[in-house]
Amino acid sequence: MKIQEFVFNIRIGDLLSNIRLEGRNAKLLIYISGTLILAGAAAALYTLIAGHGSFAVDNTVPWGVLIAAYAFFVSSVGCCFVGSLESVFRVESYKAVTTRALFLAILIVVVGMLIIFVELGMPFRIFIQYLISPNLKSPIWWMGFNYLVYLVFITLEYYAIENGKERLIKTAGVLAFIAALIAHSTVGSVFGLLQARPFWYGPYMPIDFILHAWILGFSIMLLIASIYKKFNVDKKLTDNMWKLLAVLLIVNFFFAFWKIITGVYASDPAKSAAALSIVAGPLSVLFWLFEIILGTILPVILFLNPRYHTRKWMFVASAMSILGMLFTKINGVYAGLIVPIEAIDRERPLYHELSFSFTETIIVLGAIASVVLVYAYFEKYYFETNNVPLSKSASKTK
Amino acid sequence: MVIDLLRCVGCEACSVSCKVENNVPNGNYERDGRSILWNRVITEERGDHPNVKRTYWARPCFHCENPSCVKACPVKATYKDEERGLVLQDYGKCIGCKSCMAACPYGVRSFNWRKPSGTNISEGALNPDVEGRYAGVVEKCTFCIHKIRAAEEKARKENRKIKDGEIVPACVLTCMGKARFFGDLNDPESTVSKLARTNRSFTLKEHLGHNPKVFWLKSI
Repeated sequence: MKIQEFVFNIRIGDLLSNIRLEGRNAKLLIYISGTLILAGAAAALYTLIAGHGSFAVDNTVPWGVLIAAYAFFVSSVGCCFVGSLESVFRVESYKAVTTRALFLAILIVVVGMLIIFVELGMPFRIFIQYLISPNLKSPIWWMGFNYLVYLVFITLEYYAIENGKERLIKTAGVLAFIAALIAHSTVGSVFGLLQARPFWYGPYMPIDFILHAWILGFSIMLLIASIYKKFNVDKKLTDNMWKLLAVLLIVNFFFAFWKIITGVYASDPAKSAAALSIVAGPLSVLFWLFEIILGTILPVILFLNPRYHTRKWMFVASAMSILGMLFTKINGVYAGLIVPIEAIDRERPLYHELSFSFTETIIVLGAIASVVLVYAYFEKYYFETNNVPLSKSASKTK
Repeated sequence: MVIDLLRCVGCEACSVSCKVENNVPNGNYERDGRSILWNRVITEERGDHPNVKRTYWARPCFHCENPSCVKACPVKATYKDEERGLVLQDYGKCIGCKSCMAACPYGVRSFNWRKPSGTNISEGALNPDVEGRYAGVVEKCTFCIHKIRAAEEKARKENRKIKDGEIVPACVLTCMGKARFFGDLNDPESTVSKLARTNRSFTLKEHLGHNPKVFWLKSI
């Protein structure tokens, strides 16, 4: 069955009757994520109607958790990179994950767009204004455009794999890979091109975002491989994914290290104060606990010891790495904004006050839950029943 | 615009008159940073008792020559009015992404976090020459663009050039210490041009290269 047929054949009644049939774990998943999705949708609807008053942001810190969550989601589309290993770089063993990686990339990019839609003050204008009044100097405009192109190419690649069109798989795969590099770095440029925020300004952010996309791509695919038994076809493959993830996490550590050292070293108070806020200021708990210990050190240590190369520990390591990345994004967004912009304003505290509001948090959790639930549903009723652990093109050509 | 920091006494009449003149929304005070002021007076206090010195930094939009907010806006809602040298905001285009706020090195922009109160012109007691605002758009100082347009129209009808000092934005009008001056910086003979050329004149964050068009005169 093709995925579009599957999607068009989903009936709400079937969904509800399926809930009753499922086991205890599945019921728990459905109830928890269902509640979060409904709450998140309600919060998003309230925001669309009443404005952004319930967010913990203001004129001094205009961007908050939702921007960080958006950055996290669009970087998670890095699943596409893992998917491209087979179609672009001919790493045959990765054939097993290509289909799911592409499916997830499409799913996550759509949910990410929904988050930014809620974050905009006048979201419905975007459809018209983007077309009739584009500012080609604006990184945000290019971000929207590049992600649209990216989405088209991933979908095309997915379509090609599903229909076993060998030549199209290669072409669309290469195009999707190039579009991925462009799109991921463009999101980084939204921050990296702001000269007013010295901690962001420069080439670091766009490059960071490409690296984060790879890390998140591997983490997410590893997480899925550790959850679904049938999918976990080859231990060699998961070990390889974990190995690459560990390497990328170490590289990322040194990226962060030098970013912070150059920041702290600077005489420019706006830059050094921002870097200090991460290592020793208001963001330090999030940084040391989530980014460094949970997000970097533990996944690498778990990998280094072969005793932990089991599905359970693989799940723990990849989940921690994903969590670490979420907080990397949150710290990244806040660090740029945390230092008051008025150099002359010495009466104010050194840092702006930062907090998460309930509305923001519930929207983010709802978005994450929707990805989890939709994927779990497709995994069970589409990928598993259609026996897609190896991509279809593979079975057809062999 | 030129602001003489020596003459400023920090009464903040400029902030209040600007708010009234431009129908600036009351803002939302759930958080300190939610208030909307197109012209904010920041008080700086230096030294310890008994050698304390205060400076009042009156800060409107600087209407930069190379504004980074204009580059950041994805839909050209904030744009450079080349003819007058102003940076203006089109409320009808703004999608509320707030990237201009993140991009402005002077922090002069405000967002309407909720439906603004007291901005419906039909409620009366508001300036009918200035557009009302709604939740979800960014706004900032316009140098009282409606007054500039009115003066231009008047001068055109009378077939003459605008005189120096003819356009008086609200903040300039109410400044009791006469610390503010407004005029055409392109005209070398105007008061603002002469003041901007003096030794006391400076602009903020010059190294960024935005070339702000509001000059301050040093207080000492």
